Amino acid sequence: MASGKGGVGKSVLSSVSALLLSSLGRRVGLLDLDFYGPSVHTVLGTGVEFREDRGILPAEVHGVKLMSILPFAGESPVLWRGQDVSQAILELLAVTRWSELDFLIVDMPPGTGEEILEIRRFLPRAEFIAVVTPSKLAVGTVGRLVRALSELGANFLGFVENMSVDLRSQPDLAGARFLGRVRFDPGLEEAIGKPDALLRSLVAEDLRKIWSSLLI
Amino acid sequence: MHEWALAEGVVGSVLGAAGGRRVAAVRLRLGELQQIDVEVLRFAIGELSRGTAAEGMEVEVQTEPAEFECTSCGNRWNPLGTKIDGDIMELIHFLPESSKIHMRCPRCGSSDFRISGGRGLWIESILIRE
Repeated sequence: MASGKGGVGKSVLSSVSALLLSSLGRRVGLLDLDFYGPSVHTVLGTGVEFREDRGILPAEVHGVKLMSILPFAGESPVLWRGQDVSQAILELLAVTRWSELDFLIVDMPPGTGEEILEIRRFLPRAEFIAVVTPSKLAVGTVGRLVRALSELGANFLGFVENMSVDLRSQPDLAGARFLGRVRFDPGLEEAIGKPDALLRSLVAEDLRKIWSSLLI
Repeated sequence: MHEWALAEGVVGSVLGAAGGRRVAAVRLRLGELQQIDVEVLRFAIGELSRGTAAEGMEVEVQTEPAEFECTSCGNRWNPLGTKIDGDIMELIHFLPESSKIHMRCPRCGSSDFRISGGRGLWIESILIRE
């Protein structure tokens, strides 16, 4: 789940997608690659302790296996340069013991930097979903991401419009395939940190429809 | 400790490079920051190469000392020369970049340093058996 733009809801959509797929009986891993502002653990309401057994074991929440920078950083800020991010992505992919998965959802941070390049390099089969919101500011930036993915020859599934308000609009993003919209959900903030509440939210309802068509 | 995972990587890479030919020896460079037990690594390589073209190959391991270089003040130091909290060492051996989160340049206090030595496991060369 990528966007180029911050604050469009990638972490929420990644986390709720992971919960949905797990509730359908799939084996799901969730990798939070936002090292500067990891949020997935907050959305799912879990801590992520350091658990070691011939590698690092992901935390398990509601059947989802979660890995992020949190076991390494705790509450400390992460002041890293680009090459540190690249190295850390490689190391996390090498040492995390996911065991067998049907899906690995990767929550990408904003930007079109190392994280995008390293995912292309190390997980070339990865399929990208772009997340955009109705704002002109988001559409501009995410349009750049879409063009970047095309230049990189990445597998691009299409885009989701998050925090949708005008349900009759026809979102357009650099000609990309529109996967569906997720309505603005005033009840979402209350559900943050509570997987059961998240699964009952409007966000989950809309994402379920999107995933149903993707999984066919 | 993940000596077995690394050994698997070594044997796979050696066999790939050898392209079917028998391997007499491999020279490895092992960074100190990884805190790998060399004897366990050797044993694991030996076990995992059984029945392959790398069976019985001699394993030479050179240790590369850990070194950090501060981008702010230019200071270079070996972080393992000082006493580091065991929990932090655990984090560093999996993710050497965690050192930048938990440690500071002893001269100027900056966290903006680079890992100039002592990370990773490198295959320097292999010797093919004629």
